[in-house]
Amino acid sequence: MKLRLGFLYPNLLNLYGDRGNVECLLYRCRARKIEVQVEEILLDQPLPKLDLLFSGGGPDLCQKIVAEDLAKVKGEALERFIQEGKVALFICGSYQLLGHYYRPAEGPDLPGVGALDLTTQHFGLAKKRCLGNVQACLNRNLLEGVRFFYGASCPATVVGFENHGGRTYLGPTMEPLAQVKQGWGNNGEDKTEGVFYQNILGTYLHGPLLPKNPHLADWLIGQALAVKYGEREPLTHLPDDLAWQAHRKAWRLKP
Amino acid sequence: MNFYLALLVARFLATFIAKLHLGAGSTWPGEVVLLLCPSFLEKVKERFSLTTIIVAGTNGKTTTTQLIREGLLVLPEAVISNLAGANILNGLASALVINYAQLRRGPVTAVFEVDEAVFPTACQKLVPRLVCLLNLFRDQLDRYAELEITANKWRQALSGLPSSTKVILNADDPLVANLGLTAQGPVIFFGLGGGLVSSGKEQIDSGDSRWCLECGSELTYKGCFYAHLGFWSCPHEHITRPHPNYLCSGQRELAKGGVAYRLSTGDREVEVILPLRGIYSASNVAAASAVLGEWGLALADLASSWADFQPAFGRQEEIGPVLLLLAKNPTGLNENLKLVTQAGPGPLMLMLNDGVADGRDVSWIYDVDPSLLAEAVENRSVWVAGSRAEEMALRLQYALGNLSWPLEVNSSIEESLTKGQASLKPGEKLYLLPTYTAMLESRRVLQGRKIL
Repeated sequence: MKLRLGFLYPNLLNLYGDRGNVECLLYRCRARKIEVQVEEILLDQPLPKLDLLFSGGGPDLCQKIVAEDLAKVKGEALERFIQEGKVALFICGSYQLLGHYYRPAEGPDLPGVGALDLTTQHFGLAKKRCLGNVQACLNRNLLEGVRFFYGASCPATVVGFENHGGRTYLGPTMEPLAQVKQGWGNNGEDKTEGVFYQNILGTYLHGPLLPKNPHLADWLIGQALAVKYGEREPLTHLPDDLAWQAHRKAWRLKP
Repeated sequence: MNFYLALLVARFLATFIAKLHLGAGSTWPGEVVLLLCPSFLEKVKERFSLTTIIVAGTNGKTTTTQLIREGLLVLPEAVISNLAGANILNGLASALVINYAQLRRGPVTAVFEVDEAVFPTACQKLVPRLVCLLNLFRDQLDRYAELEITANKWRQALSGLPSSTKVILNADDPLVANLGLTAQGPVIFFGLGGGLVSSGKEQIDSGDSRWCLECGSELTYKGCFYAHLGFWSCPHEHITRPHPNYLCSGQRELAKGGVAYRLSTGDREVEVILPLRGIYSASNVAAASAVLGEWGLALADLASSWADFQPAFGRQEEIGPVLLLLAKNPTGLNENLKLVTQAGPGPLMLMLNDGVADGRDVSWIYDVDPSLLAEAVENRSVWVAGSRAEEMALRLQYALGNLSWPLEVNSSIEESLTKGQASLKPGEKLYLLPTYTAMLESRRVLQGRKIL
């Protein structure tokens, strides 16, 4: 079996150890003899044919450059990729740009890809920055898939760290990735965190989300294989003891 | 409150802390004096003959400040500084409270290392005669936000300083070098020489500041020293690395111990020997030589000024068989891993805490170059400790591509240090790479006393 893994804008959207997610996916595929070819997709390059896509977060300056590139070069292909039911993980800045727009505190809106019914607004100094440790309970529909691929024993939770000024509001047809137990999540108001749409995960839990949430990593891999080969198969077990220790500790961290 | 009354209370507190061995008193007297008299720093500046040098930057502040301080000791003025690394306003105020007797006696030169976020306020209050800006790396993004935001605050701070303030900048760091554009006073650059370009793979990838501020194009590098420091320029020639006025052009390890640095300015050249390793030390030494040179010292004086230099606490400091290499951000950890790789036998101990002073967010450990981690652990046993030990251990296993790789994981720093030292074979050292609060705690365990 073989997967083509895309890493979108690795030199622009790589603010908080985002590369750790790619390292994690690569390792977990190779440990199961799944061949992986990583494609780093840069500015001005078209979106190649992929089975799995990852994109991280970046500083404001880079977010702007990315928004322009999406509008000019990759936006349509990315929307097609999403609507075709392909598998991807988008974090923070790139998650925001999947929606209709990102409205900064000052200046004009950054147009999003518009593939997902969500909008993001930065309220400037009027509202606090959403920052801290997050503990959240996975969407039940997603959890079903997660447990199919990973095994029924895995926790129903997701842990991580968020740091965002923009607040995201999901449209009525959108489901969140998780429900926040502690932390801000999408906007600090409705307890939603991230988005789960077809085979797309969007989240504010930045950086190395996957190493300490290995069940999500395996969902991405398992689902990508299922979409590509048309057959849904549980993945073989990996020694994740340390990952779950880190996960359980993160579940008890203060904000 | 009245300046002198506030000072009296703070001095009483400082004496109390010292007499009862409650610590070095490097923050509390300052905290109290600022609470009672918020304009304390300005008033000291007004009432006494105080000239200030401020050193700021993500990495190397403490060591550079100490190098400058040692150099200034040959001058007639008294020299004070915040040596314990207490680098926010209460630390600066504490240093002034503790050294009040010197201020009363005559002219004092203060050399202060200042936290990145506090730099603008410190500039405003103390109006330094000279500022030295070392570098900007990704560090504690949960506290400082993005690098560009810090750079913008620094830019504003520099434009608010009078034209009598000299500004000394790192030519090798594009974001720092570009700050020269807004300075009112004279700008002097320091940097490294072509001979120090790293022969290994480029590390610009893990660095920041890779974009031209004028046109947004990715900067190109003719050579790289470490992280994003190197011979950079904008492909459209908007900006390019300025020529350094003070240069560290060579660094070689001596058989008898110590490292020789070749420093030059204009046509003068000198060699100094310091117990500091690593390419980042060359950058710090160049920065200190620039500050001292601009302060009027002859380059030739540096060799004797630095003859008895001892590394600052936790920064290449040796306590018994333990070598402490503070590693609080990706660049610091990358560079210190390189030092461990080149060092003699002995276990590696990584410590990850998530206290406020470390940054609550530990994501940064995934910005560390996995190949450097893999090289450093070759032929060494590895210990992992600290409040987030499991995260560090997991990161290491992913870097090594083996989730079953054997590791000693223990969140207790004290236990890990005790067991780690007990495991040493003759001739081995324990190479300890801790985050900031883990370093303080380790020193407390190793020395049995508090520094801060």
